[in-house]
Amino acid sequence: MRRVGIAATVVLALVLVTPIAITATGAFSRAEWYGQRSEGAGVETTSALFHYVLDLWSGALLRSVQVVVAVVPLALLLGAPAAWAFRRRPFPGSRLLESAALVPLAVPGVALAFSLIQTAGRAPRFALLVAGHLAYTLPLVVKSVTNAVETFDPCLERVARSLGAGPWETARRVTLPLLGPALVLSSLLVFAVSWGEFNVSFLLATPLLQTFPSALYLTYTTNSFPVAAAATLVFLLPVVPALIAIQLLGGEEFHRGLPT
Amino acid sequence: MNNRSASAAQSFTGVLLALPLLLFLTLAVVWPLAHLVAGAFSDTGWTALRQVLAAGRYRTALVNSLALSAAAAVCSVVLAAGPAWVLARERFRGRDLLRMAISLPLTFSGVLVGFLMVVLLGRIGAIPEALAWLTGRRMFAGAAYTVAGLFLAYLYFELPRAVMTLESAFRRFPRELDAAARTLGAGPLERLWRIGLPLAAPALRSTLAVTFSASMGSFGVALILSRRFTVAPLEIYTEMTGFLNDDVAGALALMLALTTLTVDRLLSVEKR
Amino acid sequence: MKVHVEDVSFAYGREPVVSGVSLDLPEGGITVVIGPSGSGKSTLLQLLCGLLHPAQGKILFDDEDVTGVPTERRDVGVVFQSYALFPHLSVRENIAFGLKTGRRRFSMRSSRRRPSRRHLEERVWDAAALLSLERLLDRRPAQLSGGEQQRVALARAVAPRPSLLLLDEPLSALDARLRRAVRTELAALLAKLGTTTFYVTHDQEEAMLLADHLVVLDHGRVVQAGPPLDLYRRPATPFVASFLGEANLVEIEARPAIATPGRVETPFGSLSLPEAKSRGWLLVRPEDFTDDPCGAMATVLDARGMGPHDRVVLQLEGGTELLAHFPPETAPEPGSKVRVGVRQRRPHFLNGGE
Repeated sequence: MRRVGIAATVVLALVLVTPIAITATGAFSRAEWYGQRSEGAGVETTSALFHYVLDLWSGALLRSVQVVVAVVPLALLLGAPAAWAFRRRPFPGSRLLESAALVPLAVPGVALAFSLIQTAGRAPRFALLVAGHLAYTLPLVVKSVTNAVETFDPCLERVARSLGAGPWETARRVTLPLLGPALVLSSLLVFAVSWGEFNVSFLLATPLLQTFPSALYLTYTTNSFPVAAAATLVFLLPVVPALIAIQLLGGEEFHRGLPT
Repeated sequence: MNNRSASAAQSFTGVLLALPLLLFLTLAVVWPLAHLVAGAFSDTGWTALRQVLAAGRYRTALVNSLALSAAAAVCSVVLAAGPAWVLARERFRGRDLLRMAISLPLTFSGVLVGFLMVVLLGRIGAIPEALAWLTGRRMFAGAAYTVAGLFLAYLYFELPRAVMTLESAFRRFPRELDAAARTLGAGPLERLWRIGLPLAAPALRSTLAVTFSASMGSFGVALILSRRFTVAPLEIYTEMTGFLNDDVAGALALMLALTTLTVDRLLSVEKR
Repeated sequence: MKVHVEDVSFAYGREPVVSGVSLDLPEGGITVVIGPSGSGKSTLLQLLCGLLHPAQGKILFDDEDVTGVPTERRDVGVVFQSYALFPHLSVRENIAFGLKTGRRRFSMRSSRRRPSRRHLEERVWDAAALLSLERLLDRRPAQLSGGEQQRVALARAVAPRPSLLLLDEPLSALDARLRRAVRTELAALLAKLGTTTFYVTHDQEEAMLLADHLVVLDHGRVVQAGPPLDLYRRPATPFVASFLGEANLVEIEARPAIATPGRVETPFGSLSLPEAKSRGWLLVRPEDFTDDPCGAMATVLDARGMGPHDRVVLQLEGGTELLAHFPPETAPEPGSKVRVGVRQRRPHFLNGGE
């Protein structure tokens, strides 16, 4: 029974990893078993291939970096204090607000992107893009921070106050250090989601504002297999370490909001 | 300071801390979605909604989305239950590596999954090529672009999600209950049926909700793989950018969001 | 049913938890196993009910080897420390659980059959009545207090009328006051049931109150087993002496008194200690001291009225500190000197020491 279970798990892992492995070999192989490299004579070697890809999509990469740099701190700033308040300083309507924050998880990205354009179409597109990403990353911050707040004893904050620490000092010396792991976990989750987000980005971004996943779409539909494979690896490069860190910090419970 | 004003002050701090979130959600989620609903009640919106709900391409897309997402959700939960249980309850060397491998696709955007499906089952995909080399006959070439390919792609990104959600639920399962059932004379199947499944039911339902919602919203996979078989997010995109038909796109988006939210709510409701 | 455990050992990985334990549970009696945490007592319980299997040794139920028999076929009832009530089932369904399981079909005891529906309801009702749970039958475990949950766990374990009842620190989750009340009820109930019982605890009073047969476990080994009062009066080792109640262990050289064989010179005069052979400890329980003009001279360091007795700390001339219980309101003033003797026939000598 146990052996069958483990074997089934191994099979599942293999099935999931094999396509990536094939793609990776594609990027590193010089064999032309997936047709011609149509991009010309300059991409004979692997390093030339990656140079070519980075060159081609440098704009999109930069855009993705900009979005991530804006989204991660904003999501923490908007989500974490509110999440703490939901558990420690509840107010009339806080339950409602908390569930409202989780709504985007059950709203298809295309639908939200469409309605955002309809209502705020005149706002700068970069702001819309960030807003779309925030809508899908805030639930993760709210969830992981409320979970963390629930697991530490509220007495600790009261003890700090009784020892003469003011609200700010308590936040800085007790609450924030205790929430530290949850905040790191949230940042990683927000990063992973934002880096791979496609559903909202593709509709919200104007051609000049394309993020890297949209560039992947273009690559998949226009470039040859080695170029597409190399671009895929470039996409995965920052995400895999983040994922490993998430696993180590125990973030399995929050995968609900990761992109599709 | 008396109790009431103390609690009033506490509430006030709470409101202050949650205010940025409240503002953001109002502007970027509630207001746009409300606008989407209101749009359906305008003259043109109403016509578009009826057009979407009438038999035809749009309704087919909605039904396709619903059927495909439901099938992928159910299949992924069924297939994920075993591995999730193994990861949660068994100890063996390499378990963390396995978990890592299984969770890897969680970060892939839909387009990437679509591309992987093309790599496997495209016109010159790895599987048809391998089969041709093995058997001399080329099989399944271009299967990625059929309904089956789309379904497999959905399954590909739902399986890790289902495994991870179920695993964390299974890990909270009290081992002692199983032991208690054994001391009362229950055999393995009896324990699964009378203890395991009833206790896992909430986790199974919420995992169904998670995978279903994710499938309903998935856009990238269909963008890469869909040929004749269309799904709702794809139609919204086409109507919006291709035909600049905002009313139909709006009506479709409304129906898609409503269906997803309803199913999600139904599955997440705690039974007493 | 009588249970015989023969040279049973068990290890988690390389860590031995139970090493070479042999014991007999008398039929219909209550065997209490007591030991500090980590002594292997819960592991022993799990070995008896088959949730763990010994690496070595045999377990016999009525001369039948059950070492390899899985838990579900062993005809046991277990009360877990955390109660392990099924949260999704009502109290009624929890109690009925063991009456409906497949055990009846392939039980080792062929006389047991799956009860009919009416019979089943009767059995549930009987178990509930036994523990005064009649009015809680439709509640869920989450809606019960700790004491009520404990009673449901017990009712669930006894409802199938198992041949062996195992209880793993069943009172440890209750607060002190409740524990004392439940302890007495439990003693009466177990006596009424008359089932062979194996009871794990770390509480000395609980052990003394419940045990017909007491087993002291330390580091996975049986240190001593026997009637509880015997163990209290005649412990085999200083560990048993101080684990069961408060003990004064006065280290002395056993020099036989010349005129009277069997008597030994002690700071408290010459005492009859036929077991004394060499150097060792004289065990004096706090309640065994008497006022004795010929006794040892001691200084009163501290005295405090406890209600039932006065608690007095004494210091002998050599510096040895003693704890003594004096009758209420008879304690001397701190700082004063007293002469104390030891009640005849009570003291016990433990051979050993450096």
